[in-house]
Amino acid sequence: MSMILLIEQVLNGLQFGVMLFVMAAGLTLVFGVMGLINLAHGSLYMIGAFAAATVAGMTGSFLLALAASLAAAAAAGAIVEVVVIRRLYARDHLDQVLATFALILIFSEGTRWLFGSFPLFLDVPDWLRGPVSLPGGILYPAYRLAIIGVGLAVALGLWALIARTRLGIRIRAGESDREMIAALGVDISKLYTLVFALGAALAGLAGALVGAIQSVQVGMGEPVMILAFVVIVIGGIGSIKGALVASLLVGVTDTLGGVLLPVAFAQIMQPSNAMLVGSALASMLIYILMAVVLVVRPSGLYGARA
Amino acid sequence: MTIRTLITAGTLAALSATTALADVKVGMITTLSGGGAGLGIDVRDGFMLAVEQSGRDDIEVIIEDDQRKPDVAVQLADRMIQSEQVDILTGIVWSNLAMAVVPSAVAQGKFYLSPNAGPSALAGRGCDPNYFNIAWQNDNLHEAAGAYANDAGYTNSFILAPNYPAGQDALMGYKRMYDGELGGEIYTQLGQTDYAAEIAQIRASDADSVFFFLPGGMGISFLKQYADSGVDLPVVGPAFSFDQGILQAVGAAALGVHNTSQWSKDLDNPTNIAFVESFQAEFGRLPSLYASQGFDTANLMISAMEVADVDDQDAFRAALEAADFDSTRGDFAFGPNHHPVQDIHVRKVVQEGDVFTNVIVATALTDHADAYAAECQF
Amino acid sequence: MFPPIPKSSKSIWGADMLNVDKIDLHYGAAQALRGVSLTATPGRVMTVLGRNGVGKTTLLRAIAGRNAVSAGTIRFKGQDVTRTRSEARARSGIAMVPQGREIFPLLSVKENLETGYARLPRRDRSIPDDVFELFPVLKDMLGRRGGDLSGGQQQQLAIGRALVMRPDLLVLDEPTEGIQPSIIKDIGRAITYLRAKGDMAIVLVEQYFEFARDLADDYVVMDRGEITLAGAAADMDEDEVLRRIAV
Repeated sequence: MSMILLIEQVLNGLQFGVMLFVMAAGLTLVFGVMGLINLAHGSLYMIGAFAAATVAGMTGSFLLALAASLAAAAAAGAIVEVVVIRRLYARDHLDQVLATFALILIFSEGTRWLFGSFPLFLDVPDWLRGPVSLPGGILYPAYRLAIIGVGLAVALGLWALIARTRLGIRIRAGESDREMIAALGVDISKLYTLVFALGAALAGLAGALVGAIQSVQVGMGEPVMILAFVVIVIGGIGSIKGALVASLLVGVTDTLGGVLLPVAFAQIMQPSNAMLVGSALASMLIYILMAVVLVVRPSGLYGARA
Repeated sequence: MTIRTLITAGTLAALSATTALADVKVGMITTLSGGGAGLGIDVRDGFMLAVEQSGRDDIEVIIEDDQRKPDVAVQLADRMIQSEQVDILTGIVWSNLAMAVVPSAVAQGKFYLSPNAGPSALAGRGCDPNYFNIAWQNDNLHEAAGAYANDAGYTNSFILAPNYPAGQDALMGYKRMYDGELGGEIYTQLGQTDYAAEIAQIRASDADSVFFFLPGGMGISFLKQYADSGVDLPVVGPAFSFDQGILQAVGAAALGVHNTSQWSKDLDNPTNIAFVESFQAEFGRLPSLYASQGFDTANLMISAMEVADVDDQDAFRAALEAADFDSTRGDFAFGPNHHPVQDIHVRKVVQEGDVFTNVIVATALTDHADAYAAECQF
Repeated sequence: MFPPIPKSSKSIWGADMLNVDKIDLHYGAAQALRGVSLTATPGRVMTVLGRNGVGKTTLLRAIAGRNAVSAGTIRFKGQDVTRTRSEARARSGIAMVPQGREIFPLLSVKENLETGYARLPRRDRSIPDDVFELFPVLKDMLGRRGGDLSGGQQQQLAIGRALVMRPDLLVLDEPTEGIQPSIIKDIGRAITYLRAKGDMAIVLVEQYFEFARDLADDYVVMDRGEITLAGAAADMDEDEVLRRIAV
């Protein structure tokens, strides 16, 4: 395998990883601050993609489409928080899982009712179309480079928000002691709605960004949702930093595993069998990674000690 | 009566379980919700269009949603067979669901008419006299793609499909007909949405063409990413990733791609012309491959009803075998294992106005039967 | 023209900053408070004495709005706040230094203090100088994480955080519990200073009798959810009180 191919695959892994991060950040934030398991986070990803496809179809502007994805997902998140989620904080995790699973079904069928059963069209904008040449003769799609940039910018922005602003102080304070933060005069329900909407907006942004190179269709959020859960478990539930490290780890592991394992197995068995065994094992790799991390650090890489 | 009211009536009938005065009771189990709903909806709409056009009032269709889940499909089939006492089952889109439902349904003496799924297990040793496939055996379109690759002069194909039985059959089917070398062979993950790693491998290979089988959203993702990657090797695939339902979502990325199909909207025969026109008038969209298969399935059933009573199983089976109906594909006949013997065409994706669609450019295989027929013993 | 608004809050809503009137509180079927009444006045320290588990902390939680009462009323600055939620009470001027301190261990000392800003208009969002005068150690440790502080330092931080809110009523739950004597002295000095400022009412729950006695202007003794003795500290029968709170 050539060096160029390897570097390209590492870039692919990074790109996959930063998108997972944008998705998982909201999930881990919501779990950390509110203690809520939100299975419907993937639905917000879908809403972002559908909003972007709709606005891009009407206006032709990709930037407007991204803005729409943020706004639509944040609005949907805020509404869902006020109407449903708010009643779940005090309940146990099983109730939360059941209720948010119901939300998935409602969002999926609602989206189908609005947009129909066929996938929607959303494309890369013209100004990011096609590959660019990187040093060393690597051809890499400009759009994917842009995704890496946006993902890192989101990570930086979230870090600044959490570490440097009053909202960030409240979020971190709320994570450790919500009763006390209320006793200090912080309107905890408003804070929760805000955090939930923020997480939703990020999921929506991820949906729109990824929707341009994948398919915008009902149910698109569930597979990525599972990966996002893997990420926050590896990273340590509630930790943004953990989510970033874990997403990059999962992204690179998954991408390189899928490429390298079949090659590795081909050294010791027939090519066609190596292909089957290698890709089967590659699809399990991130779960194996999760298991190993949990054995070594039961609360995840950056999780608070239980 | 419009098709919508027919569908509603069918659903209501299923709910109220009143026994209508129908001579043939059809149970349709198909995917109407979740990710693959577009396919099931097209099968249903094509089927009901044919029922409506027949003008017959002795057909009762009970339509249920399997949610693309085998366990749900099995439950629905049990209910339809035991409480509703349907004569014929149809509708299933996915091979894994078909494998869960069909063997038990035919063992209980019901006819099963498959409008889409054609797993090899049901074409070879597991064939059954009461099981008819009106679409294709799963390998057929891939075989045609391999044959087309030879015709197009490709000698070094890079091939990929998801790592599940239908994906393995697809690569097998392609290789069965394709004579050249393989520039690479990859099994992707089922449901995978990002193909950057695979595309990088294609770029790094010395292949001269790409064959892929990635149904549904997987194909949309692959094509968009492939078009954006700057790799410009010609692409061949079965019709599933280029069908009417998803072409609009792929957009210009699919333009010029060759794909193999037993049906196309521009097939020049009176039945097909009338079908395309009436489907568009009724539903306001172009029909897909799946809609044509649903339409043909209903017309096959109706043709058998014309000459035989469904309660006389032997006569009805013989009438089905005769396949004396006007297919949207033109000529249509069954092989000895009740799977189609048919032409498979090569289509090219073009843009007509705002709409992306397919036109036929060649015929890859003529009167093609499947590879498993010899293993079938009734 | 309106008369000038008097500096002391007393004359606006009468003498009492806080007026707890015959409240009951239940935890499920168990009754934790029975007809408890108590008042707190600016410039005075109301001390709540009693053995462990007699309802002192519950009383403070009821005042701060952390637990709902089942009967009776709580008035703050003349307003009925019986059904008002905890954060709204905090915003109207009730600051709590809870038992166990409840500082935020992962936030820096500075950030911990800044959590007290929530009720303040933007222009008032600063840490008052007297916080650092009372607890100079906090100034030295501004960048340290709350969780890295010693127990006594955490207690000072919790009081400092409450003072950042510029409260009208300060509620302290056993601020001396588990704290070394030198810091207890600092805390005592801080409470004395705040009382002397005269604009703040203070309710102090204590088990450490001498500490409480030295600071108290008024006192109540609780037993089994009820107030069994009450009065001005000046008239306190120490032997009787000690007998009632002895273990």
